[in-house]
Amino acid sequence: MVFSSLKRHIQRSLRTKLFFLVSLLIALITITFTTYFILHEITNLRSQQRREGLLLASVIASQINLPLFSGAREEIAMKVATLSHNQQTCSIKVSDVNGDLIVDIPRNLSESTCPEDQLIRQVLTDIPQSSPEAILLGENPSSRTFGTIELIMGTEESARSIRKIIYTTSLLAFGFWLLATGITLTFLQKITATFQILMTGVQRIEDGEFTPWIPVVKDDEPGRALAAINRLAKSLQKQTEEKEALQAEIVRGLHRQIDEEKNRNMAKLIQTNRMTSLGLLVSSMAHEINNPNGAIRLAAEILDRGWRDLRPVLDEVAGDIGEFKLCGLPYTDAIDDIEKAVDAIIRSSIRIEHVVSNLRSYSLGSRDKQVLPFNLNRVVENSIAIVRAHGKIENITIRTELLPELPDVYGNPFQLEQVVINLLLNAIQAMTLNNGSLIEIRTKLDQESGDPLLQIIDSGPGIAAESLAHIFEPFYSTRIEQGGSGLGLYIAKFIVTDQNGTLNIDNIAGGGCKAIVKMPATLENGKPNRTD
Amino acid sequence: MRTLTLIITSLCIAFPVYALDTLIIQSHSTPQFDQTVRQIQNSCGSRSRTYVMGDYTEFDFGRIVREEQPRVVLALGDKPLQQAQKLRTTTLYAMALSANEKRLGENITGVTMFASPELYLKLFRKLSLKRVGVVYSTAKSGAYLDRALKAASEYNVQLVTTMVTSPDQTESALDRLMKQRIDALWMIPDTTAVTPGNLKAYFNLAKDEQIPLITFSRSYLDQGALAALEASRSRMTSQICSSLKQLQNEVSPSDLPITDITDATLFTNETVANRLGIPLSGVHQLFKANR
Repeated sequence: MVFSSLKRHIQRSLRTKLFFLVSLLIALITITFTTYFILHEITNLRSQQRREGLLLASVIASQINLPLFSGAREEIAMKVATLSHNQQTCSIKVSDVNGDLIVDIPRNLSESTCPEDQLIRQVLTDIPQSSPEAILLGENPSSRTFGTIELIMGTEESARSIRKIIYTTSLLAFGFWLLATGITLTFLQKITATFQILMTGVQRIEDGEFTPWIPVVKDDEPGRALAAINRLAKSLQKQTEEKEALQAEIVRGLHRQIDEEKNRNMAKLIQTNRMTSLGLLVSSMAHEINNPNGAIRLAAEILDRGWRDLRPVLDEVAGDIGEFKLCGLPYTDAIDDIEKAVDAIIRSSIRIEHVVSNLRSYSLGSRDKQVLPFNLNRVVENSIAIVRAHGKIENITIRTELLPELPDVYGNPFQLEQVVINLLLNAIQAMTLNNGSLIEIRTKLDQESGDPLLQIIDSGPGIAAESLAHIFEPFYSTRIEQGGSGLGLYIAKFIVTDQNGTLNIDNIAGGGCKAIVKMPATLENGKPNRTD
Repeated sequence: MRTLTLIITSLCIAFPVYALDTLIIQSHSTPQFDQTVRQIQNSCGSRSRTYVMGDYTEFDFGRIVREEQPRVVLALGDKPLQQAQKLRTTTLYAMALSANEKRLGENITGVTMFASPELYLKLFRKLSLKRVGVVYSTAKSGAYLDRALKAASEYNVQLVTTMVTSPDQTESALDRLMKQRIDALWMIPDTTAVTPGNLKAYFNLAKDEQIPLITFSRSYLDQGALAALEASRSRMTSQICSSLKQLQNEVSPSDLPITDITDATLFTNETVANRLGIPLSGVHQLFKANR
């Protein structure tokens, strides 16, 4: 556990890593040099011991030359003992030139301190001085052998010295390592101090504190890094401020959008509420309208019956007295007008009844499911009459091109009148500001299916491309501020689709808008076939 | 025809035909001998042949000389010189330490291995040495000492000589010299007076009596000698060549005296000089000093 946490600490800290690496390096170097020194000293000690042995042998040789020649054993033994008194010798043997042992002086030293490899054997010879012949003519001087000496040097003293060297050197090496490591630590702390400041600064930036604060003392690499960190912090702070400002701006923009959306939704809710209220109003008004409307229809039917009865009488009078005025017009002209007027009153009353019924049904959520065969041309005419009655088409020309042999279609003619009226009102509203505007209404057969269709084409500016995909959505209107409900086209689309027809609106190249209504011309199982 | 034959015969008698200019016979092969032979051959041995006596079990000196018929025999070493003394051939000797100059025939001349006595006397004078003792043997360095004694008066140096006939007399000879109150000891390369056995006596005497020892080789400086005058090998070679040329030009050996080497290099031991209180300043300018 301790080791793993230490290891983790080392890995995370550059200063610690460097310290350990340098300490390890110093330790390795110290150990290497210490080992080399110790081995070198051991070798020197051994060489020195051997040299001492050789020197002792030489000194003994120089002293026993004549006694050995004369065979004076006691003198030789005494000289050898005297000369080797203070030396660590295991044994000394002297032999004469014939190999006879003259002196053998063993010592009471243990075998372990008297290794055989420490044997020094030296042949005792006269070493002649350089003669004139040798110097001038290069002749080799002759030498004579007079004996041999064998001695074994003890290693106890040298072993003690070696141990002492090892202990002392190891202690010094350890002390050196400690000192070097301490110095290294001090230097590392100084060197990495700037680095620590740098890391603190980076840490602060990481934590989100961008206020430049690191004091730059020196113009070296760490100092320049610190200055760069300060500039980075300043830049980050500026970017953060800009980001916050941008975020605030975005939030304000979102708030504005939300407010606008809320307003639109509120407007839609208000409109819905208004429609709900309107529905309620319509329901309550239906009764108020149906009563006078019923009276009007009854009166109109009475007038119609009365006219039918009166017509023959008047015809006879006209035959008798000739042309006379009726309703301010000549009788022959007044006949048509009176019949048309009565018919218009009856039809309008019926229409009022249907409209109120439809409005009431719509506001109550029910649908008028009647499916009748009717002619689109008639629907067009009725719708135009109602629109003209609005009085908002003074500067607008409505031109009709109605196919006379247009076959009947199946559906609810009254609802379809509502559709045509909505389409006409949209077209009129689109051209409100333009004088000389034209609305063309055409009925014809679809070239592909042969089904009757109705086209309403205006010369207005057309529908904006971004609005075109939303025109059939409920409460979508470009004229909310002008009181638009956003329901006209939605209802029109609903009515047509509900009756298995199709309603498409598109812009015309060059300006204007075209609405095409197709209604089913055939029934299947009592229901109109769906058109394409 | 007869006249012509007579003339030719007379000429042959008058002018013998020589196969070689120089027959070099060295006693044995050592670096010193070989180097000297090489230098001689390069300098003046164009028509020469060399024999090494040590390469033969028995070297018939006379037969070789007869067969080679050289103008001059160059005997390098004591052994060739001993053999040459038995012949009448014109002989030049060198590198012979045991040559007894006074007993050489008239057909023999040579170059010794001693530096010229004048050089030593010059040194003694420079070092203010008045009485210089020298041990010698008549046979090997008697003639050299005669020359030295003859020249000594010019240098205001008195040579105190003691003769020995065997090496074991050297120590007592040195004692005698000391009793004669010498102020310096001169070691000459006399192989009777100076042997490996009695070398120590010289150094011990010089050390004990605190007198300077002047010797002939720098090898002895480490043992206590004050100064050494080493005879120049190159000068020896050039002297040999000069003598050879003269001999080949029919100069009689008896007309060509035996010469010492006239150039030497001085080596000194400053420690010994300091111990003895002898200043060495100015000495080095006299010779090619190296120490």
